[in-house]
Amino acid sequence: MSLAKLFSVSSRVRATGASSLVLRHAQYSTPSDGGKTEMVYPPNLPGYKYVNAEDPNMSMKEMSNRAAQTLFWTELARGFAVTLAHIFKEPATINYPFEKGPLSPRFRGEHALRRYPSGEERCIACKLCEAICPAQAITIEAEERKDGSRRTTRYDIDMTKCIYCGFCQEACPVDAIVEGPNFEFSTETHEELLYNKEKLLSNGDKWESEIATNIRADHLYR
Amino acid sequence: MSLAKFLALDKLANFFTIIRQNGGIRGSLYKLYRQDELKDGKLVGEDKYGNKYYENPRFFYGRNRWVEYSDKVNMNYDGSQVPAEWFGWLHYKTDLPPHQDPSRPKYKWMADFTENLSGTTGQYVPYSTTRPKVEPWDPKSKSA
Amino acid sequence: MFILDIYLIMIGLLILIVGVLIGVAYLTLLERKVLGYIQIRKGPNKVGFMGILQPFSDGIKLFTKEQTYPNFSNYICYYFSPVLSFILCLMIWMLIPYYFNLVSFNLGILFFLSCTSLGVYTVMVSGWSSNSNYALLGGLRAVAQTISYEVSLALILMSSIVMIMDFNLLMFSLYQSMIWFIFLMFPLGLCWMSSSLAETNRTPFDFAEGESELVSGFNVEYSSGGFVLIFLAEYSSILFMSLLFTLIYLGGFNLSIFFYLKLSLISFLFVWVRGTLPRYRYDKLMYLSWKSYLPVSLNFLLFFLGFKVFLI
Repeated sequence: MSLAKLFSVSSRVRATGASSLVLRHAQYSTPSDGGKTEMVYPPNLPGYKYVNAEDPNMSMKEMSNRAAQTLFWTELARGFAVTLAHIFKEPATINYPFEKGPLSPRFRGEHALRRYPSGEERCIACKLCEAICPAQAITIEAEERKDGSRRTTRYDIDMTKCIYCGFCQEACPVDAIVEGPNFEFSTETHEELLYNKEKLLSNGDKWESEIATNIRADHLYR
Repeated sequence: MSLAKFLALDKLANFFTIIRQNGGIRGSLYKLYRQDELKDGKLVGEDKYGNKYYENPRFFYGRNRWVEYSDKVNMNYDGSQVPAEWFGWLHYKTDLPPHQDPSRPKYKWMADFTENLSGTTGQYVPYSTTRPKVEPWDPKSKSA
Repeated sequence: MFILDIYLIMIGLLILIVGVLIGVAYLTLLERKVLGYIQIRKGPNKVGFMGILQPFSDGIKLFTKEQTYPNFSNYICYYFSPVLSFILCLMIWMLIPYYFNLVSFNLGILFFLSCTSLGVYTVMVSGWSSNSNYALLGGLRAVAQTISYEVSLALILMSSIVMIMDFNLLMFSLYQSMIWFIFLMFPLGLCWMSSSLAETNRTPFDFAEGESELVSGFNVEYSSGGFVLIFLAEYSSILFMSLLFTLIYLGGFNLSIFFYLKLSLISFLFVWVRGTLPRYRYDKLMYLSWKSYLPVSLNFLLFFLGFKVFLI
């Protein structure tokens, strides 16, 4: 073959440059017989994918694309455009003290001791919650009250030992101890987190509206 | 897409609505300083402490509903100032604000709501609710 | 020269330094907010009015924290290398091309190259004197990277100097009154941008810090005081590189507000790049410098030399 033919870009290759896969013709086929003995490698059947290195496409469009990519970093510009678009999208931050994250009625937060609608406290000092607490955070002492009913004298929950598992509220037969919805009870000293019975009862009085609604929403599953 | 949406004129209208609803330019600047955020919304209710509750479904879930703490607290707003009745609505547990919810209990022993008092003089101090187990000998009392 | 002139120059320099420091402080805020918005979150917005006092609160925190030092470090080098790097980064701001009331350098570009070359020493010494493996590794990698990119930086600078035939920074504005150089030498501008990213140790070339690999790179042993100085030096060199880019490519200094707006835009570009691109692998970074940017800059230098000699 002449030198010119060796070094020129094959016209067959350029014409078939529409797709990036280069069809390689086997050596013994010549274009003069009208392509009757065309052997195509790789076969154009589904299920075959050519994985070796391919010659770069030499059509004008592809060559100018590659030149633009080298000189003007077009693919980087596309990436930058994506990032720029993100700057103008709405950010996903919620503004904490004003907007708060969604919770479920089963959320376990600060403990509370509930009362019956008449005002009588529910807890009958059965000590099931004390027995089941995995962290042994509950301490109970019980005595007969003046009117003869069985009530606690001491009901302490150490909120720093508590793991907020909710076992106590599952164990209580009268729904006295519950894990209320409040989670914003952080303190500045450690002692304030050792709750006693008065604190727990008053929690219950403050939060009863929400606790009752949560129990109402969830009682079918308990 | 209509021409107004294409030229972002509806966003401009939103901007003016927000400024108008938040009390003009001065009010908006004060709100921006206090809350780092300016939004417009429908006033859903107000509780007895002065906190106002707003809703606007234009924002995504998680930013739909918000509270603006009362002006009495100025910059000392705190997350625990939301009372129990509005807690459920604000945290997306229920869609009914307390004045439209008939099943919220109202007993006469329910106490007034207070915020988290830690660090102030009204803080909770733990104490023992039982008598001490060991009573020390009192030298003064004589049996005979 | 009258003594009054010297006083005026000193006051001018003082105002310049204060301005640069405030600019650096707000560049940190810009970076945090822009990175936040790129990552679909908000940056700091609680401190002042929508976060505008955040740099001051950061500064106060850093200055009032305890200054520690490693027991087995080389204390003099450890203590003075951030100081030296901060001095260099402030000294380099003398090049800002005002027409009056500041020093005007006839050989401004040479001064710039000397200062950045000295800055390499401070990184290496702070990494070495901390007496910790990660600091040493970070320092070594940073030094290798910086000196490699300085070569291509200087050659790209030479191309633009050849167009002007002067080392003075003021002359850039004279020659760009008709058309900015960025339109004449756009690929070279991109290479300059990339080399200045590498010079200032910014993502995607931030091996000095290498946040996820080396914890904090060469400044891991530095607590509040030293860290502040290193940090300020890095950000003021970012601002200075933006200044140089605007001077050389985007129309020089023409005493209008648009110069500063263009400078801010280029600083925003630095932050934008940080938010978009991941970090290069180290050997690819070295390949990029020696086998990509160096041939490109040399070839462009030859082209512009020929352009200047034969056409103009």
